[in-house]
Amino acid sequence: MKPKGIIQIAGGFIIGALLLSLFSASQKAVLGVNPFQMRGFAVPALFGGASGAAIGCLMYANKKLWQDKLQLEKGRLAELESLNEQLAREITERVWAETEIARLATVIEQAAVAVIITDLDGNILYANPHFETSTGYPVAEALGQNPRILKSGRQSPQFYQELWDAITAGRTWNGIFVNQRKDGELYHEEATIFPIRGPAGKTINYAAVKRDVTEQVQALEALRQAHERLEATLNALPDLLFEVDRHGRYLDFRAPHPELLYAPPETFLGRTVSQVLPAEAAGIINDALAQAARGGKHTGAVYALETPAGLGWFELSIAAKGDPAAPDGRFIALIRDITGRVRAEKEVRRLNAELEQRVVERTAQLKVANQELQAFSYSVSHDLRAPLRAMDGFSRILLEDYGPQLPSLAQHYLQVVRKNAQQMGRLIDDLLALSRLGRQPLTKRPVMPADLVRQVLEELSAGQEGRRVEIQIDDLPPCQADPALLKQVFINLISNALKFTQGRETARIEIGCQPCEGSVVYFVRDNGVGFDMRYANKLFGVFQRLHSADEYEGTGVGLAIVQRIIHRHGGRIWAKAEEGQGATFYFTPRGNADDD
Amino acid sequence: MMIEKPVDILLVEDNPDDVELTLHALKKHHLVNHIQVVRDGVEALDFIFGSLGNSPKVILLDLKLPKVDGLQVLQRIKSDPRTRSIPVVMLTSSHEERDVIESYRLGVNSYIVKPVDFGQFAEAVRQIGLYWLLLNWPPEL
Repeated sequence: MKPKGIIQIAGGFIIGALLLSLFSASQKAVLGVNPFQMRGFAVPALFGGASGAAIGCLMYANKKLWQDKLQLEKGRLAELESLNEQLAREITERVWAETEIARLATVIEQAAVAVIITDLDGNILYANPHFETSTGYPVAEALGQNPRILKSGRQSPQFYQELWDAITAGRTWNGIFVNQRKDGELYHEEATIFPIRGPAGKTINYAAVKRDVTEQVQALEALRQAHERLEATLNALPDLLFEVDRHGRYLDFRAPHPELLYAPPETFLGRTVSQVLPAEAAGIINDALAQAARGGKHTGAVYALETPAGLGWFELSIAAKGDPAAPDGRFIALIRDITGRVRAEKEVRRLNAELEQRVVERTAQLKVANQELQAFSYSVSHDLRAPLRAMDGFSRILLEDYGPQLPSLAQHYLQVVRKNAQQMGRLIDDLLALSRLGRQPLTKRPVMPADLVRQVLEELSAGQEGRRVEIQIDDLPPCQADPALLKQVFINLISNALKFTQGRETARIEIGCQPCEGSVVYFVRDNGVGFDMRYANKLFGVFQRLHSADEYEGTGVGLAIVQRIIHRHGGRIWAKAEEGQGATFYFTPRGNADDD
Repeated sequence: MMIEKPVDILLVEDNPDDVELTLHALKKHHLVNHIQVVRDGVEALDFIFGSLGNSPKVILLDLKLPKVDGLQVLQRIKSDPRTRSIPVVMLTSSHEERDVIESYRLGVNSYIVKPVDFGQFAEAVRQIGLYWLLLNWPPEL
């Protein structure tokens, strides 16, 4: 058959089918042939080539027909001429149709959506260039593959089953895939998948048109999250929320605690603040609203309202929704119940006033107590010493005037009475000195401790005749202190040192200083009997003695006085010692002269 | 009050034991001849203003006294031109700073704290007596 030869010349192109249709097939049937089934040819080239081939074929056919004409009869010639005209007309129409198909194909090739065509098993027969853009798979690699290479595993088998059920039943399926690109990145694509029917009405292919909607999905997700966040925020807020227009008309509300509402919603929605609330509160709210209309927001307005729950205090914050100046502008008013806070503040003020009153009262009581204490020590000073003086005095007179007539034991007893009276006198004197320390004002000035030490040593030397005492005075830097009190410190410490070295053949006493934590620490060190460090905590207590009165006389007040003086200076005193190995007392009156 | 002979020392002291000890110390040093003892502030003022022109050479004044206390007595003596120049020695148990300060503010001539130790006390009394009776030279009144 001659037309078949033409098809061969055209190289088996689909045009063969087109030409064939001139003789045997309907136009509809030819159009039904799927050009994409011709694997291995680029479609635009195919169509461009097809048009040229069709024209070539036409010319060739013409020539052949005219050669034949010579051998054919006239009747046959006329038939052929007629046929030829018909052919020419048909071909013109075909060329137009092919151009149309090429145009559509170009659209598909250039489309910003992925288009694939598969066989009935789902194997990809065609993919447009955008397929590569959206999936990362080159078209050449995708061909012959199943679209399941894009599966991310994020969707259920049922999802895919429904898709297949639809298209195998001849329906179009729409849906969104969560797919995976070649590089593993997930993306969302909205797909329309539909069957393509062959000439017999049977499904011969499936086609899918897919659009990447990742950004839209993400935007929707972000929107959803923002909405959820807002919703949660609002749920967490205990506050009343109103939406009002610029005239203060209530448009909407949200009341987590409806009992805080001044009126039922149906009585205020659609009405203005001024119509609903008492004038005073409405005025404050309208002012705040006017400020928000100018500046976009306003916070901190406070007003009181009689609510069903009693008198309440409320704090108002208003913010414009969008443009505050818009004539149809809307505002969100957030109303916080601060009744508790206001009450608490009132309570705090009341308590403060009460506390101040109490402080005044206590101060007065303390003043009285202090006066009583002063009266007490005054009385001690006057009245306790007189009887002691009598005891001591008359014992002494007895001894002096009647001594020779008294047995020696009686004389001894009188001595004991005298000794005790004198000891009690010293105790009273020391206690009074200690109590005076708390009352005396401190007059700090720069002091040279070495001068004080020399004075003290001179005064104490009177009682030390016949003893071997080596005294070393190091360089002592100046400090800020009350000179009289600091001198008392040295008197007590050095006389202690002298006292507790009585048993030593040579008493050694060193008065020195050493740097400590940025300030100067003075010390008085001796080689006396020392003490057990276990009792160091008792050292500075009133009436605390670490040695018996038989061994070393004393009242147990001296170190308490020293500590009181150092503490009044804001300083610190401590001691280090070992039994039988001497003791060192360290102290630091705060505020060395260098600091000031 | 009858005044038989001029008084050298006026002792204003309410505590009889202290009076006795003071007298004992003075006697020991032969200073007890012309001494007058009164027991409270009222008696003291009566004596002082009753013996004008024949005032004691020194007044030994305790601070704590019944009725009118020592500071008030001192104030009366030192604020009156007729008695102002009589030497007044505070002889007291108190070594409270405010008592010392107040006494001097009022014009006391001396302030002595009575020691508990009788030896020291007796010595103090001896020195006071010697100083004011023998060494001191008061104006003629």
